[in-house]
Amino acid sequence: MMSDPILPSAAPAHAGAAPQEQAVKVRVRDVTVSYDGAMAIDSVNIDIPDKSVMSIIGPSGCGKSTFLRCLNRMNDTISGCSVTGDIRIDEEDVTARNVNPVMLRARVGMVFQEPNPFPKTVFENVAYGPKIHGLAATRAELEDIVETSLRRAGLWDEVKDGLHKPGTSLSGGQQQRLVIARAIAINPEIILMDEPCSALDPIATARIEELIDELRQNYCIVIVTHSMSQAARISQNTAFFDRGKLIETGTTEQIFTNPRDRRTHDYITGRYG
Amino acid sequence: MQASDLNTPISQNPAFLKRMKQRSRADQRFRYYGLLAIFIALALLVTLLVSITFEARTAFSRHEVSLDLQLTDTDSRSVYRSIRSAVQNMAGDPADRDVRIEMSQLVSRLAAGDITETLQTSGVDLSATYPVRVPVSDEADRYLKGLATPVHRFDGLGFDQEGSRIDSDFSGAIQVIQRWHREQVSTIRHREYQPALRMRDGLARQAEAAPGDRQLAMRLAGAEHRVELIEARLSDFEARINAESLVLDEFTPSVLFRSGEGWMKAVSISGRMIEVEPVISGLDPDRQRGEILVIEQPESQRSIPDAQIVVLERFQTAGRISTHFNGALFSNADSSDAEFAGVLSGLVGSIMIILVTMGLAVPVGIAAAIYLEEFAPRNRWTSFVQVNINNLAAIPSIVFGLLGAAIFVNGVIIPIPFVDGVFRLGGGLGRGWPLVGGIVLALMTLPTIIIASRAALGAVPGSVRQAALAMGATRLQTVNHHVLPMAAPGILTGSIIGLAQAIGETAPLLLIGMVAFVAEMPQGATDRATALPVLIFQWSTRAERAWEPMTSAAIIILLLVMLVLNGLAVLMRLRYEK
Repeated sequence: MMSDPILPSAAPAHAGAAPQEQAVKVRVRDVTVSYDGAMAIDSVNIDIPDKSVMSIIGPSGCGKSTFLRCLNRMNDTISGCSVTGDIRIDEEDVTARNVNPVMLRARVGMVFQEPNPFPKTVFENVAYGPKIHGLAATRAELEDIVETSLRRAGLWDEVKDGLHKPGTSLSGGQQQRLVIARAIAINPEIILMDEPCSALDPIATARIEELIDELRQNYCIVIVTHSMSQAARISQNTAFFDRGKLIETGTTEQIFTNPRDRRTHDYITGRYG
Repeated sequence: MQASDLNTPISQNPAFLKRMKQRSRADQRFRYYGLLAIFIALALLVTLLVSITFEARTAFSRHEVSLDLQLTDTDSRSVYRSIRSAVQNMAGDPADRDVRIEMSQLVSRLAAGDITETLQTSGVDLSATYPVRVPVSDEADRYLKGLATPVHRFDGLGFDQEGSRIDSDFSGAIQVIQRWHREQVSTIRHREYQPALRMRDGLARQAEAAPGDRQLAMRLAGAEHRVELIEARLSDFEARINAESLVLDEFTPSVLFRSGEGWMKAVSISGRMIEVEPVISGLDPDRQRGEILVIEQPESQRSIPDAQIVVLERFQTAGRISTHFNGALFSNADSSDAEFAGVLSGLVGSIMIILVTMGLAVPVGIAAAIYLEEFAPRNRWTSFVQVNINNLAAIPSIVFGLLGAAIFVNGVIIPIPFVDGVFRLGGGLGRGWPLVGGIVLALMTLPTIIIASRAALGAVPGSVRQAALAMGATRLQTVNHHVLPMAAPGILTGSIIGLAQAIGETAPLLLIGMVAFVAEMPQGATDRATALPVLIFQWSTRAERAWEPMTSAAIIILLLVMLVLNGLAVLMRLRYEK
């Protein structure tokens, strides 16, 4: 039973094509998060490889998003939230008190579930990061960064004539790509995505998935998703969370075809969750 | 629910249909209640505006009299003397001292001030007459506007041989006077006689019940006496109405005659005959046809005597009275004479106060709101602060006035134990300074601004903050670049509502000493001043009737100031929202 091939059509070419070993980018050890004393995730240990996509799956409320927010310390902004354990990016401890979370967040970009462009122009949205971090010395450099980022996000051709229109006037899918362009404009090392396609239609979703696959060449991407097929399509590695615990992690192919844990098996076959 | 219900489709279920009807009726009713509420609010607002505007309408114009002055000198004393003699000249230079005083009261002493100023800057030839236009006294102005007393005018007049009896048709005047008498009789009956009767009867019943009570007996006697007095007055009035000839004195309407340039006053009227006496000796009639004026209000009950009316009528016939826009209302400071009083000092005071308030309350309030909403940890201490800010908003403004007077003006005096001395905390600022008023109103406005700003900041979606923080923006950058611009319209509206409330505040200003009569324009924030609402309060307490329309006019000006402020808020909001 446990060795049944599951979702054979959803274990796609991308995932199969990538499994050459990558260096570990993020090393997570014994991370526990609680909100006002209520445990949200419990002793998670995981290694996230560089220049690949890792998806995090699991039923609602299992702590996926909480885990994601540990990686750029967005949990610090939530009052009552306490994080213990050890998170290392390139072997550097980022949970230490003396690490500036602002610094960390420049290295670890994030894309949220709902597209959240600033209520400013398309240009201002993308230029915001470079501006506050002082990455562009001249206006020309800034324009260059904006164009490159929009091109990488696959949005340039659609917005190049409307750079000074408000970012919020774009469609949902375009807004999400704008947000991705905004995140990569400061050239982070890791991009966190929290269900980036859940508010989008299938066509927009497909575009974002393509984009993620391209971005994998340059970035370490961690994506939380509710869609098993999406995880199968775009990620090389998958981690399954349940009730605050990391149940199983491995290559996407292995998780979807040959899960070691019964709960993983039940979840991905749709019998649970 | 019965099982059969589940078998009926919902659209045919009678219980559902009945409930549906009830629900839509409830919906309708709710809409009507809302409309009714809005209608009532609008009706009240319109009533308020219409009544104030109606009340104020007479304050925006004033009557001025043109005089040809024979100047002797250019100082204000001599100018005033010239004005007085010009008025007395129109009254035929009466010898009677009382009449002379009455004449001099027609033009305020303050009129000389303005003329003196022009004279001293422009220079004048003292040998020629100098034409000027001066406002008449507030009572004269009220008479000319028809507010002081009803005046009935009748044409035609003819004299007999001796010149003291006039033969003419007086039926119109007689009718007016008799109607006035009948009105008096009915007023006395309703307002005085009947209550007095009830009082007497009540006391009589009590006295019957307690025959030995001496005090009660005395009160009964007093009440009986009062009834008798009123009955005597009533019968006197009725006798006058029924008498052959109407006797006129200062307790009845006045009947004045104009004949050519001269004026006379009736002493009695009987049929077509009338007995007269001069109003001002020297102004004798020249036996031409003229007119009859019945001044309904008895002379003893009005503040403009017959002699002043005669002189005003003479100025009127000479074409020397003209109506003008009351510019003094806008360009003058407060004055004890209504015809010279203006709101400018109050307006300037209010503007200075509001500038101080704005300078203190807006930055402090917004900064406090930003700290509490964006930076402060959520703990017992901050929620304590928040609860108390809300409490502060509910404190009556007069308490802030007390606080301001105690801390900024008087200082808190604390005796030092064992040593013969005191320690004074605070104080040192002057009574009635706009600076103090501004600080007090800032304290009062602060909670409003903090609460409104916090609400505006709280309404900014958290996703914006998250987006900025996730980009590596610091908290300060997040607030400055994203949250504050989005909250700005709400913050602005809240601040301006707070300031508009402050500008209309009276009680705290009275308590910090802005209650004195200040006739000078304030020179700065540390000078005694008055404010618009304080001015309104003061004017409303002044005795002369002329202050009533002035008060309403000042209220309209205050409302306009508020309207401008609110308009500004709307404009700024629109600009920010773009």
